[in-house]
Amino acid sequence: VTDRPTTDWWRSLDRGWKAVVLGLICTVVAQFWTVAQLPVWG
Amino acid sequence: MRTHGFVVGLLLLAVVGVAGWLLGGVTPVPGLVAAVAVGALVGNSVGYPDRLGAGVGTHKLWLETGIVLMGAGIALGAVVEAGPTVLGLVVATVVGTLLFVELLARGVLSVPAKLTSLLAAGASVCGVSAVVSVAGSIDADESHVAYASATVLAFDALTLVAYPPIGQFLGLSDVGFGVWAGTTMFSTGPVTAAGFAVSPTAGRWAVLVKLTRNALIGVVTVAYAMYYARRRRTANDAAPADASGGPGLTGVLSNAPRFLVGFLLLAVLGNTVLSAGAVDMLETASNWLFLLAFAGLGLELRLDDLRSAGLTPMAVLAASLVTFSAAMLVVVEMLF
Repeated sequence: VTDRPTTDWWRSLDRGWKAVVLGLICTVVAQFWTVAQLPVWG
Repeated sequence: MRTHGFVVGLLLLAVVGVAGWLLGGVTPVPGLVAAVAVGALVGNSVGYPDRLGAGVGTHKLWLETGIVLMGAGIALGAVVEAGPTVLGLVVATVVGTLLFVELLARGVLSVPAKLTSLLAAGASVCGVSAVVSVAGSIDADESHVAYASATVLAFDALTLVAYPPIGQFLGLSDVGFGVWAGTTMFSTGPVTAAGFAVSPTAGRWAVLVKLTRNALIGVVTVAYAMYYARRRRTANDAAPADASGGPGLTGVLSNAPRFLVGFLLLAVLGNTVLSAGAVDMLETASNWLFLLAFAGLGLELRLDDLRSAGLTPMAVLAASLVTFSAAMLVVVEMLF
């Protein structure tokens, strides 16, 4: 199986940086979600 | 085939985490503690195939991501408002607990150095999060991380049950109880639960004080990274220093966990540009990620490892908890 460039980029990251990237993605999504007033469950 | 095993491993984390959460809803045991218990039960009874190991192993990533997201909920303004008295009590308790555990465990009872440091960090700052954070910066042994985490979680369960009735029996004020729980209990979840079990005011103060304590995680992690980097360089009989142990501040920073950058960044964003709704969402996401993380921690927990570690570390944390809990009760009675 040949890795795609994006997978290589992700795999090369230290676990801590992966957590930072995931955290920032969640932050952008959460901010967008509330600003756009999309429905929230729970 | 590898991908299939990875996905099934992730699903196993989710199933165990949700089982813990459901159990937490119908028993006094907090969901996070129940997730560890269910995971440990599964891992040590039926077990799981090796091919699921990679998926289960992602629990460390979920924990670090959960800590990054938790940063958004750190109330920097509230920390300032809490005033110098609370800040002084927090710093005194954290430093006192660190020194007490280090001196008693390593100096008197000959507990291994890195296990001692994990226990000290867990007891003084923020439970399992601190254990994992410090473990990453000092390259601690996996079995020590599991033992320190399990020990901290055991005391979390104990204090969660014991603190509210003791506080009410002693007639502590709501603020007093919040400060007492926030400064001396180990993990954020149980502190929050114990505080709100007494009253909303006690809950708010408990969380505020606990978050102030949690803010010291970076200082403690970097201090330990610095200490162990220096120890590696000066050890004559040790293996040659690895590439991660550079000189001075560079070496310390290269050993420091990267996710702390995200934690601090989210703390700033959470207190400036993010909406309240977004912060709530991130806190919820953080709690769910912790559930996955603790499910994995339980699944990888080997009871044989705990038995071989002995009861000494447990006794050290018990001595530390009793000492600082009693001392802080006296201070709280005088000040609040």
